[in-house]
Amino acid sequence: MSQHYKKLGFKTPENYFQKSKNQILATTINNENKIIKQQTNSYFHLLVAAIFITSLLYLNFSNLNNQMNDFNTNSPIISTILSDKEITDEYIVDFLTDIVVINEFKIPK
Amino acid sequence: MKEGALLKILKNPASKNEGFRLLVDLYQEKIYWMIRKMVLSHDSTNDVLQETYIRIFKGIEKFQEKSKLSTWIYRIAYNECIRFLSNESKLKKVELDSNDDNYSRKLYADVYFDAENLSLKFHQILSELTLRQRNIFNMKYFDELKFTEISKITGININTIKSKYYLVEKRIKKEINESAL
Repeated sequence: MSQHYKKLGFKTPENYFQKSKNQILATTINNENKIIKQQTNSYFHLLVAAIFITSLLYLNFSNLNNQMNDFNTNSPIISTILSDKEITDEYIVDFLTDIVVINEFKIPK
Repeated sequence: MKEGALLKILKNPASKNEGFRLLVDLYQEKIYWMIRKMVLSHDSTNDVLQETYIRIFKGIEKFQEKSKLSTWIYRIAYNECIRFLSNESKLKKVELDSNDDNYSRKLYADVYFDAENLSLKFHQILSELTLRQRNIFNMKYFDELKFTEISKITGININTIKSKYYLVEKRIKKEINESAL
């Protein structure tokens, strides 16, 4: 290599090239090893998280299914869905009156 | 070690890290001095050198061997220098054909600069050149690169490089001889 650069009066700190080499290797090779380790760890965390979320969803859906089967037929809104009737104020008042009357007067068997 | 052998080591995932260590040993000083002549201060050179090696490390698998490995490495270093100088001057694109008004200021601000008569004369002449002229002169005279390599690194036509270099060389010789008298 040309030594002409010395004509320019440039200097470097003591042991600069050795220190710089270590720094370069630390930011490239060693850093990549760390990234690979972190990636392995994150894959594991991701797997655990996925299992957890799947379990939550499974439990929620099974509860939801039970709730869907146990819907309250005494609700005026659900009643309209079942009977295809339009929700109007009159309908709701009539519906609630019916419910009250049915609950008040139990017909003996 | 020959470039071909080094490339084989570098492109094999199992030996990439070892190859990279060899590559750092082989080119570290050469690249450092090339960058130093462009950015002038030692600290800035250190930053650009780091960035250059990070880019080399990340991009070595994509190197298609259309040029020599050394040319590819110099080109990355050159581009990093241009990027650094652009950021430094807060311009989107550094003006390669204009003079660097801050040349002397940057030089004297660096603690790792030791001026002697000849150094000062050299720097005085270099500071009067455009960045493009200076880069071409530095690569040929100090880094001893071939004109074809300089052309590939800078993306400038080889004939333009030759004519610019000989003009600058003639001028420098003339001024150094005059100052020696």
